Parts: sequence; structure tokens; C-alpha cells
Amino acid sequence: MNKSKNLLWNRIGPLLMSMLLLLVFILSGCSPSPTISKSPEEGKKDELVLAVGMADYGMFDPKKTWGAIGQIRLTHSSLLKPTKDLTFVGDLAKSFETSKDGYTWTFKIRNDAKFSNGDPVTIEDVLFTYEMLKEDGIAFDLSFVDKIEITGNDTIIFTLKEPRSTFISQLSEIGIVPKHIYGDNYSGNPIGSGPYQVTQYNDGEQIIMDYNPYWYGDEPQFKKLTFLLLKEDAAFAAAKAGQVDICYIPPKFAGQTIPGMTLHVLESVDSRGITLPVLPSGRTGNINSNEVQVGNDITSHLAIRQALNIGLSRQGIIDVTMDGYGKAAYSIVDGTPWFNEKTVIEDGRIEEAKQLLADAGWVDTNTDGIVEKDGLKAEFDLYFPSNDQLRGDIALAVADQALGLGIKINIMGATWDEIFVQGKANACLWGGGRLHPHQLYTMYSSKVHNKGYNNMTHYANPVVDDYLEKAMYAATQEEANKYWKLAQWDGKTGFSPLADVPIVWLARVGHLYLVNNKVNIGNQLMHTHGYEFGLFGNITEWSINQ
Amino acid sequence: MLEQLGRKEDVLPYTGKAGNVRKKIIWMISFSVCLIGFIVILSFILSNDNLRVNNASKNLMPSFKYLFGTDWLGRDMFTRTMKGLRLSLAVGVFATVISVTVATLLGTVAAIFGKKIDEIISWFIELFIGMPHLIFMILICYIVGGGIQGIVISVAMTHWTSLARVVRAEVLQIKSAEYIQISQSYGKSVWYIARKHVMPSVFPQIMIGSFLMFPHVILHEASLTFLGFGLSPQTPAVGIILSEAMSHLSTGQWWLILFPGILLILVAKSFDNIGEQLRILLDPTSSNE
Repeated sequence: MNKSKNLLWNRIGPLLMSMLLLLVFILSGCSPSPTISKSPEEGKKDELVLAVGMADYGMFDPKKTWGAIGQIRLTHSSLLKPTKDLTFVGDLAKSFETSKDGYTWTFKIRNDAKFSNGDPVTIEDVLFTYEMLKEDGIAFDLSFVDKIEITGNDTIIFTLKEPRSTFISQLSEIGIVPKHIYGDNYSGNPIGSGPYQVTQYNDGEQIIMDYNPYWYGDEPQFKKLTFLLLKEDAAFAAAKAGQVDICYIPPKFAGQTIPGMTLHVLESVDSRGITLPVLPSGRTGNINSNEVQVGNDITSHLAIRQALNIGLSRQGIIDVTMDGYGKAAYSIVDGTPWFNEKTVIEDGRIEEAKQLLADAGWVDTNTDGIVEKDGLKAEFDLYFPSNDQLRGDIALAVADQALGLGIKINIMGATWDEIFVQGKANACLWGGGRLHPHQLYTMYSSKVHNKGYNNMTHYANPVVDDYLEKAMYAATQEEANKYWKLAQWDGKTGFSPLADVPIVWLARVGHLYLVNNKVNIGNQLMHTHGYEFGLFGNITEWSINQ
Repeated sequence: MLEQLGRKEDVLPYTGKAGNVRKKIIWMISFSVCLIGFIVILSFILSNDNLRVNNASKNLMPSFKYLFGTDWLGRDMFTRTMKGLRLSLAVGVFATVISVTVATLLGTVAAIFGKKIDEIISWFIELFIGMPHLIFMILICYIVGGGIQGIVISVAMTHWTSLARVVRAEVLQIKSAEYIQISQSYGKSVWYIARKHVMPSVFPQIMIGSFLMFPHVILHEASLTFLGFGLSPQTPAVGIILSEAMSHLSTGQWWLILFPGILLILVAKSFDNIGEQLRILLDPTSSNE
């Protein structure tokens, strides 16, 4: 027996050894290989390799919503740009003024701006971009613009049908495209007037950007950016192998450390919450022009919404789903100048939430742990996009906590197409967050019912509507902000956690990046919904750490 | 050794070798049955509380408390795996029963009710065989609208074909046997012959066929859920567990994928084993192999 075993070993041993050697060889191949010439000692570093997401929508074309979530700063320039304290200053515009009544906006553009092919950015290009987008009407809503005129060779005047305070943010989101080049395949050969030009774009593989020598602003430190379009786990593996300088990671990877890289947790208004239909069931409405059911018999009760609002522990959800890398959210605009700070509430008050339910007549009569009222069980469906793991995790955590309040939430993973059918009759795990307050209007105003996927809950409060209109019509930012805050809570009513809560906002997701220790990403602007290009708003300030 | 064989010969009419094979078969079947039974029982015993999100027990390595470790939401992977396998088994049983019924019906009908019907059914079988399983299943799943019923229907619709062929061939062979012809000449109806003469001899084939179909069905169910068709991501299904674990491999959480994967293979292999051993036991022509 012993002998045969030895014989076996003699035969298989070498095979095993060679396999082991092969394995070691393969594994060592995965570690940073010396051929990649990005060692920190190299001295002058002017290239960056980035893995910050898949970047697979609206590429470079404003008509395909490029710019709507702050992507344009690398490749395009716009009339205005946001600053760190969320005011707006001129970018292409040398100077601008708004008439006292808010109807007329006048911009003078700088004359030293050039596209990456060397052509100057003319007032004609600006006019063309805005007229094209106004006519398109899908990517950017410019329907409130009455007419756009140019006078001389550097002045453009927008005349509005009605004052619109949020126009200022669109002016910072719309990248100017060259009139004589723009066409249907602009995505494939995008020419803009930003600090970088796209020299290579392989959809789903990589984007290479080089410094635009005609750029009129401060010269950036890094002359070449290579974006690897990788999924989160592949990006992380690439970072581990030392092949990227900056890597976006989801919060669940945050516990991992990579030598030579530091974790940067950047604040965002990228918010997540649950929409709770405020009408009882039995109505119909539209989402994206499809007729759908509207209303839900459970979430239409204010007591249910308020119980979730005060009973759920926002920090608990953040801890479990994001490893704590997030901030509690009470609106979609937390941390911005138009957020009403009075609406921050203390949550996780389970007993109070139960009391609130009991006072409203929701009692657990059959001891199944779920409360009932008039024979109606406090049970509803919560939809989330099944390909978004973070939203799925949040939905799971919400359902878990809600059970402790006596509310049963069935979580339903679905495609967006399905969510846009079910979304007005059921709860949805919603997301959003911009560097401007316009979403407050699109999510809460009764004027936008049945338009696109605005106001999913069909919330309608005349007082709030009035404030929202006033905010939109305001001629100055300060005045607008006053009304945005009043719409959230005016002491009596509002859509904030203190009153109607059609949407229970839960968390602002921290945007996490692993950044090469040598790279200084400067003082970042607050990030918006969508993490791919938010990092590059201040690219010209980036530098090398000595 | 020889003495042992001698004693065996007293009990069994076969050679000693055949006796060992039979013993081995019984052992293998009972092992497989025990494994599957164990998983089913465990899946009912284990509390759903283990599936609740828990911040205190996130990303833990396998230990005595958490045999298979925990995932990124602090859920016990052992419970998830067991419940996921139960779902797979339930879907498997359901889909297999449907497939086998369809296969038996169509196979028998094709063989008995004349040439026209045989041609139609054979054409159908070929049509279904001709399409790639997985793509066909995704298509059906999508049409039916996803969910568990989508998976059951799509799996059932695609797996009956080969068994139907076997049944058809078997019935055709029996049909030409003399005792059937005698029965016919006595004026017995087609249904009578089908029930009394054909079914009893085809039954073992059907049974073995269904057991051998089972691992296929389970693996296809797992791949459908892996691809994200039908079920909500938080449902404990093996395919979903595996696909979720994929994105955690680069952070070194190997236990999320290793144990569920191994168990899935074990369960599929167990069924395959039962079917294979039953085939050897029941099929007289292979008893001397």
C-alpha cells in the first residue's frame, strides 16, 4: 500500500509541482509589473490613468444629456460655471447681466476662446447650441425661452417667456458645440472648447484625452488622461495591480487598502430616498407618455409616510449599506444654499413612529407583526433597479427596519422599463441630486404631473406650488433660495420631513475614490448624482504632491 | 476474500462482483438522498432572521458561528445558500414534473396515433432541440414576464424534448411487440393498450429520464438567476448569490462564491448520481456492465 502510494506520488508529484509553479508565475504576473512606466520616482508626471466608471451614456453630446450631471468641464466650456460655494461665475461669458424683472439675460462672451481644432468660439456657435437644444427639448428643457438673439459679434440675449431662476444652472451645464462641425455622429468626434480634447474614444473600452493647446484657462498639470471604462470590481482589481492613478470604488470596497493610494471621501448631493405615492389607488396618469396606474392605498396615508420618516434610522441604513460613507439626507438638496436646515429631524424614533401609527388607527389586530387599519394591511411594494446593487441594499435595509415599525415592504428588483410602469402605484427607490434647485420643482410641483418621470408621487400642495412658482420666477438667487426653503417648510406645511414627506430622503452617498498619493485633486466641488466625471470639475487645479 | 465471495454467492444469484456493485449503488443512492434531504430539512429549520441585514457581522470569514461566512450586509451565507438551494430544488421539481408529463404525453402520442401526428410531434421536438437552450429559456422567461413562474415555465418548456424522443422510440419498439398485436387483435382500444401494455414498460425509462433531467434543470435555473432574469436580487437563489458574489471576488471574499458553488455542484451531481445508479439497477441490459 505504502509503496503504491509512493509510486503515485512519484508520478503525480512533478505534475503538481509544475502546476504550483505555474500558479505562482501567474499570480506574480498580476502584481505591478515593471513595464508600466508610472513609478512615482519618474519625476515629471503628466499623465493620469483613471478608472472612474463605465461612462456609457450621453457621451460628449449635449443633445444626449452630456452636461446634465456635471460632466462637461473636461471637454467643453459653457457660458457660466459653478463655484465651490454654488454661486455662478462667467466661463465663456466675460460678463453677464439679468434684467430686474428676470425676463432678459444678456451675455458678452470672451474672444480668446477656441475649439480644440483651433477655430474660435463665436457667438454664432453659442446661438446654434442653444437653439438646437431648445428645438430638441428633450435633453434640456428650454421651453421657457422665448427668443435668443445676438447683437454685434460678442453679445447674446435670451428673452424668456417667464422669469426662471434655475436657468442660471442650465447655462453652466450646456457645453457649447461648434456649429460647422456638429452633426449626428458628434459623439464619435467631439470637438469642444474645454481644457482637454478627446483624441480617442472606444465605446466600452477607453477614452483618451489630451490637453487642448487652444484652451484659454489655466494650463492643467496633467497633459494626458486615459479613462479605462471598467466595472467597479475590474477597476478595483486594476488599482490593486497598480495600473491606475484614480479609481472610483463603491462603499463596500472602502475597507480595502492599496499601498500608494489614499481613499478620498467626497461629499455629494447624490441622494437616495423612497418615493411614496400620495394618492389612493384607482387613477391613471403618465410616465414618459405611457399611461400607468397612479396611487397606492397604503402610502397615501400620511401616518405611514411619517412613521417611515421618523422611524427609519438613516444613519443605520448608511452604516449597513455604505459602510458609513454617506450622510443622512432630509431632502434632495442637503448641504446646498437652497436647503432649509430647519427640516433636519431626529430619526430612528421607533416608539414614536409606532405611537403615530396607532393614533392614526393603524393597529396590529391579528398579531402578525404588521399593523392594519379598516382591514387594510400596511404592506406595499418598493421597486428598485435590479442592476444597481447599492439601491437594492438600501431597499433591503429599509424593508428590514420598516418591519420593526409594523410596516411590511416587499422589495421588487426590476428593470427601469418596469419601474416606469409601476413607479406611480408603488414606492420606488429614487435617486437624484444636482448643483441647482430645479429638481425641487420637478419632484414636487403639481404643474409637472404626467410629464416625463417628474413628480412620481403625484404630490400636490397649493401652498408649496405657490412657493415653487415664486422660486422659479425669482429674479435673483437670494430671493429664489428664500422660496425654495419655504416650499420645504414654511412653519405650517411643505414637502420636507416636517410635513407631507411624499419622498422620504434617506442618504447622500459619499463618492469614494482611491487616488495615487502623488496626485493632488485640489479642493473639490460638491459632487452631483453620477460619479464618473464629477471629480474633474476643478481639473485645472490638480497638481503633484512633492 | 474468497471466503467472503463464497458466502455472498449463497445469498445472491450473481457473482461477487455484481453484489459489490449493487451494494455500492445502494450506498451512493442513499448518500445522495441523505445530502439532498439534509439540505431541504436545514433550509426549513434555519431562521429567516439570519437573512436580516446586520451591521455587526459584515464580511466575516467562515467560522463556527457562520459556517460559510457572511456577506457585505451581514447576512449568514450558510442560511442563504441552504434557502437558495431549496428554491432551486423546488423550481427543479416543478419544472421536471411538467417536462416529464409533456415528454411522456407527446412521446406516447407520437408513437401510437399514426404517422401524421408522429410527424407533427417529431417536427416540434426537432424545432425545440434546434434552438440553443439558454437563449430559448431567456426568451421564454422574458415573454412570460419573469419571476419564479417565468423560470419554471421556461425551464419546463425546453427540457422535455430529449425525453420525449426516448419515450417515443421506446413506445414504437414495444408497439411492434407480439403481445401488443395480440391485444390489438382482441379488439382492445388504443387507450387500453397505452395504459395497460405500454406505460408499465416505459415507466422505468421515464423515471430515470426525469432524475437525469433534474441536474440539468437545476443548473439552468441557476444560470437564469445568475444572469438576472426573473427574480429580485435579494431572493436567496443560488444563481443570484453567485452573481452577487462575483463583484466581491476582487476584494478577496472567496467564501461568498466557493461554498454556494460547491454545494450547487454537489446537489446537481447527487441527482445525476441517483438517476445513473437507478439506470444501472433498473435497466436489464446494463446489469452486466
